[in-house]
Formats: sequence, C-alpha cells, structure tokens
Amino acid sequence: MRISSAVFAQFTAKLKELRIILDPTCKASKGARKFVQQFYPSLKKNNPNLTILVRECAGVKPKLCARFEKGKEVSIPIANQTIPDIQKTLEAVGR
Amino acid sequence: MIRAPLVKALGALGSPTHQIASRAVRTSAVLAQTPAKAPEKIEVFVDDIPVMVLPGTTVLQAAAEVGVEIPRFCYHERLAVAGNCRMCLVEVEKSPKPVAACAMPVMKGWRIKTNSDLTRKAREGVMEFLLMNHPLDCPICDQGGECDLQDQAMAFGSDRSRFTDINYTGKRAVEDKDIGPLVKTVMTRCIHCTRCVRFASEIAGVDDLGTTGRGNDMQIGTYVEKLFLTELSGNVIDLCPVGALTNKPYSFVARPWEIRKVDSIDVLDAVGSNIVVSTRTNEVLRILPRENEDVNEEWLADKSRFACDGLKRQRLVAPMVRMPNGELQAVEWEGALIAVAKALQKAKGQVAGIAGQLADVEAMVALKDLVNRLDGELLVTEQDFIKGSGIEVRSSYLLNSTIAGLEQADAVLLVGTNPRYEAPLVNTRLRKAYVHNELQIASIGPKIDLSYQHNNLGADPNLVKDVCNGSHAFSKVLEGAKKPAIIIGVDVLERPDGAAIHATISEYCKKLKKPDWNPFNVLHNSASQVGAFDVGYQPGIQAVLQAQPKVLFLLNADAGKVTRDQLPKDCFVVYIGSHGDNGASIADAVLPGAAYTEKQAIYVNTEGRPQQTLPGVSPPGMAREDWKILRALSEVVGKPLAYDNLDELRARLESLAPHLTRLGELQPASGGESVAKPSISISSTPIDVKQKELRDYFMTDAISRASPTMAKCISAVNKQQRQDEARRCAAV
Repeated sequence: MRISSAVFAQFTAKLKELRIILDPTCKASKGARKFVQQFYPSLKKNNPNLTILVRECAGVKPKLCARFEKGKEVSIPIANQTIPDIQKTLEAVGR
Repeated sequence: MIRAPLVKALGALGSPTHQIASRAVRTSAVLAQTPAKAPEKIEVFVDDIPVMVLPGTTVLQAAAEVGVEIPRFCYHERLAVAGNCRMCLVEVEKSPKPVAACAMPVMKGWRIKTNSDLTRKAREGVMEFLLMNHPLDCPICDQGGECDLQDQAMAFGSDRSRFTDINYTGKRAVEDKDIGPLVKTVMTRCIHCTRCVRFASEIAGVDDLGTTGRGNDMQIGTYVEKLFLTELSGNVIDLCPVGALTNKPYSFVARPWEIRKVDSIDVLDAVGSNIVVSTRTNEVLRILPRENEDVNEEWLADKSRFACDGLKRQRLVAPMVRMPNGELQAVEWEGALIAVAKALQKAKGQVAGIAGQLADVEAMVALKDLVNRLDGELLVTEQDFIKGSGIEVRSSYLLNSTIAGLEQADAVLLVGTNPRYEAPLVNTRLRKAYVHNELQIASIGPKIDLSYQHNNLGADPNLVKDVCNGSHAFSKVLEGAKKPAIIIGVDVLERPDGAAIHATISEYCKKLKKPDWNPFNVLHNSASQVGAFDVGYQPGIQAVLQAQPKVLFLLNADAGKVTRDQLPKDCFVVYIGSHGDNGASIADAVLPGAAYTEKQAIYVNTEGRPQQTLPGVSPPGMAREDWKILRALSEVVGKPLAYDNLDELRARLESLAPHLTRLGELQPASGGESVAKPSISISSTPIDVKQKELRDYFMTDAISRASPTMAKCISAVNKQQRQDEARRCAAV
C-alpha cells in the first residue's frame, strides 16, 4: 500500500507541538516506530515550523500528544495501531 | 609505544606480579580473538574458604571475592599496584615469609590466612613503624574521624606503644609544600603510599608529583616549588589515606560525625557527577564524589567539588521589583507576583522564556506550561544548538556512545571541543582508553593540551568535510575501528554553519554505526541543556530577540547573552534564579529561586541520563523552589497549572517524555531519521573552543562566579604563569 506524503499538507496553525511517545522495542509500538521512520521527514518538510518531538522510553504505551493554542493538549493512545490508523488519527488532530 | 606511566611500565618489565598479570592479560587478549576457551580458573583457599579465580588474580582480589577485606594503604582499585606500604601482608601456608597481598598473584592451591598469628604480627609491626614517624596530632587533623590510619591502627595495631623517644630527638618532620589553593598539605603526616603520585600520572595525566630521597628522607612533592593545579586535583584528597593532603577551603570547618550527608547530583557541568553534599546548620560545607561506575567512577572535577562556597555568596534572598528610579527594591512575595502578573496580563501572549545553564527540568516544564497557557510559544535555551529538527530526535543531541562506553572506543575524533575542561570526567575516560585501549585520538580545533597525546588535524572546519567524505587520512582510522566515536563540542554548533557540520557528521556516523554502538556524540557543557531539549525547548535566543516580547522570563539565564538594549524598551524582564548575576541585573522583577543543593529536581546529563538532586539545606531567606514560584505565579495570573506537588509535576514530566522519571537509567536513543540537508555549507572560519586553558575552567556559571575559592584558583594559575615566564626570561 502506498501512502503519498502529500496527504499531510499543512496542519492547522492552531497545532503548536506534536509529541510521539513510543517504546523502542515493544510490539505495541511497532506501528508508531514505522510511522516515524517513514513519515517524519515529509511531515517535517511540510510543516517546518511545527515541533515534532519523538521521545522513546522502554516500557511505555505509545501515544500521540498534540498541543494547541493556550496550552490545550490532547493525548491519543496509538498502541497496536497500523500506519494508516496513525495517519488518520494525526489528520484528525491536525485539522 | 609505552603509554602507561613510567611506574607501571617499569613494573610490567620488572616485578614478577606484573609479568604474570600482563601475560594473563595478553593471553586473554589472544583468547578473545580466538573464542575457543576461557583461561582455566584455579582454586585457592582464603581462611579455608575455597574460591575459584582467574590466573593472575592477586591475593587481595581473591580475598575480596569471598568478602575478606585485607587492610591496605597504598593499594587502590583504580590505580597501578605499588606494593610499598606493606600493610596487606598475609600468611600463605608453606611460604617462609608473609606476602604482600596486593601485589602477589595467587598460585594453585594456596592457603591464605588473613587472620593468623603471623599475619597479625606482621600488621602490628607495619603499623608500629608507620606510627613511629606519624605525628600524634589527630585532635587537630582534618582527617580525624575518616582516617584510614586511625581506623586501621585501632583495628590492627598493637595495643601498646614501644615508642618512647628517650633522647627527645622528636619524630621525623617534613616541610609542608604549597601546592595550590585547593589542597592543603601537612607532609609530616604522609606515610608514602604514593596514591597521589599515581593518581596524578595515571588518571590526571600530570606528572607533577613524585618522590624524592629514600628511606627516612623520602618525600612526596613537586621537587621545585610548583602548584599542583589540574582540573582533577581535589581527588588526591579523597585518595590520601591519612591527613597529609586535605581540603584547604574545608580545613578546620567540621568533623565527619557532625555533618549530615545527602546524596545528590552535580550541575556545574553536563556530566551529572554523583555527589554527596555534607551539610551542617543549614550550610553546605563540602562536596564529595559518590561512586557511580556509569558516570563519574569515583572522581569529581575541581569545580564541582570546590565551587560550593559560591552557594553562600551573591544569593538572592528576597523578591525584588525595579522601582521607577531604576533601583531594585526588596518586596514581599505578594507584591512581586502581582507586579509580574500585571505585566503578563498586559502582554497578551507576547511572552517568552529563556532557560539557562542551571535550570532544572521541573522548573522548565512549569515555565513552558505557564507560557503556553498564556499563548506564548517562545521557549528557548540560552545555549545555542542547531535549528530545525535538531531537538526532535533525541539521538541528535546526546552523547550516544555513553560516558562509560567511551572507555572502549578505539578511535575518537574531537570536533571543536576541549573535554578536559568542558567535561573533565569524560576526559578521564578518554585518557583511560588512551592508556589501556590503544585509543587513537584526533582533534579539529585549536591546539590544546588534553593530558594525553592526540593528533591535532588543524582548525579549518573544512577538515570535517574531508574526514566525513573519507578523503582524510584519519577517516581510514575511524572506518577501521571497532568502536569509533566522533564528539562534537556544543559551541561548534552555535556557529552559523553549525547545522551543516552537524549534518555532515551525523551522515558519516550512519556509515560508521555498529550494532549496539552509536558513534555520534554531542558533548554539552551545561547541565540543563539535554533536559530542556527533552521537554521541547528550542535552542538559541535569537528567536526571542526577533520576536521582541513584552514579558521575558529568564530562568537561571546568567550567561549574559541577553542584554537590555537588545530588548524593546517596554519589555518586562522577570528573573527566576538563585544568584545575583547577569540575569538579575537586567531584570524588572527578581524572584529568588533555590540552588541545586536546596531542591529536589531532575537534571539530564549529556548522555541523556536523568538523575535527581536532593535538598541538603533549605533555600536562603524568602527564596523558594523554582517550580513553586511559577505555580504560584500561574495562580495570580488566573491560569493555574495542573499540579500542586512534586509528584503531580513528575507525572506531568512523564507525560511529556517518559524517560525523564526513570531516574538513573539510560534510555538508548535510536533514530537518526533522515532530514533534509541544511542549505548552508561549512564556512572557513576556524573552529575555536572557549575553554583553552585551566584559567578558563574555573568560572563558567553563576555559582562558580560567586565562589571565592574559584577566584583564588584563577589568581593562583595566573601567578604560576607569571613565575614561569619570569624564570624563562631569567634563563634567556
């Protein structure tokens, strides 16, 4: 399955910071790891001013955190999710 | 090439111990190449307890394996064996004389008796001889209470003295030496264990100390009067088993049984050395190293050890607000917080924060949350780094090979860094690898003295390109190495072409990468930096200066990079920190914070290891823990932060970056995602380092700048240099 990177055009300006927290080895984080490996460069390219922090730690459940204006945050668990799932989640967050 | 100091090199040629030991090492090295069989273990008996040990093990090590400690003065695990104090004599069955346990390798079937009559008699005899020439000045000796000689005289010495001095000739006396403002010498107390000599030549790499004379006339010293000033000189105080070398600033201050000891972390460099803070009556009296094999072994750099008197000077003890006449005036907390809150409400989101060298992770998170809630986005560190994606993947800003790992490196390239002064305990690891592991080191940058031989390739930044595209001679060395490492000094990355240098090297490191070994290393020099990046601070103050904020928070930002004339006239500067330094002098409101000995706070070291400090004393006057100040301020502004105590704040840290609360553990950072190459290319401005000489080392932050001891060190170094120059002129 081919996913074009153009899907991630520009995120809304209200999105200020994106954090992807994952485990470097465990199975639940596999999708998250692959997602970061494949899509981090294009994400960064299309959103050069958005901070995308990838933070690894053994034994954590992978999650996606997004910070919006005025310090509002959402955190979405992405355990055992595949790349398209994560992509959908991210798009929903960035809209 | 003989890299080990002379004592050891000669030992390896001369004494049978070393011959066997080195042969054992060599055979094990050969065996390592052909992984067939490990050397056969041999059985010995320590006090009739059987133990299997490798050939080449000494009696003392074999005894340690079954938990029998043999008394010793000269032997030290991290130093070469000297075998000159004779305290470790033990009886071995069928041996006519007692043997020196520290130097004698065991033979098959030996029965070692560590508590027999002969052993006890030997110890008593040695003790008697040592005490014959040791002054009975324990009541006025600073080592009293933590003295090996005192303890062992009690445990193993004779219960009566035969020393009567019938002719009143007095004991042997030796003139004291002046070896600098940090180490006090009382040479009459010296028992000639030569630990200090071995430390200086092996670990510190400074062959300044040595012995002169023999027998009763033997003396430890520098021969010609000279300062023993290195960045590691304080460690000889810990090594000295008696009171011959003691802590000069701490002399006659306290006894070990009166002080309270608190385990903590050092923050004056980015190594994160483990320390013990000794306190009494709410004062920090001294700082000692705490053993941690992964970080500082058992050493401590001089700045970390001696700058603690800076914690009592230049402290901010009350909140202050700048009055219309331009003077800072002390006010109550209420007034100060209301003044800041008013400014924040007027700013309407034009708020920024700068975190300095000594900021802890908790305070940085609290500041970030507060600024974000006020709709500000500009949160930066005072120390610059590369822009763009530099902070997004952890491996791009960490010392990935790890501090302990550098010991195994066999080829290292230093780019624009002087580890000797930026991180002395990283340098000792490199030196260790240089001495024991045939490490080859090259540096790009100015010519500096690293305490070991290295190949200075030059200061031209284009050398980085040459090495990284494989055309330089040193590339062959790196590519052929089993564990190569490239260490980039963080000051190089402050340059306009820093991103290009970073990208070139990280690209090359992908090629050098081995399984379980990441050769890419950034050596930071401020304790807060890695923690700040971990929670999402951006590097560099330029963005803040461009944005011209209405309110600017300086969190321990004391490097003096921000000046008043770079900021708009109506900018309200809030300083939160412990010392009245550059930051407080430009502030409109000063909120006194706690220093690292006064708070429980997390700092992340340059390899990415989070560790926490523990409070030894309480903050002076009205000063408070930094994150609590920010919490209180958020309440006054009307945007209360979601945590009321440290546990809740730590939970918040965990949600930001979970590794931060795994204290003491190292979470390996994978990654190295390919990022678009920066458009800038490497310029031709020569690469420089900030700390070139010892003089530059002593004062680098608000605490060490406030320390009188550090000031004395600098003047001592200057004086020594003037004397050397005068001598040179006289010679010409």
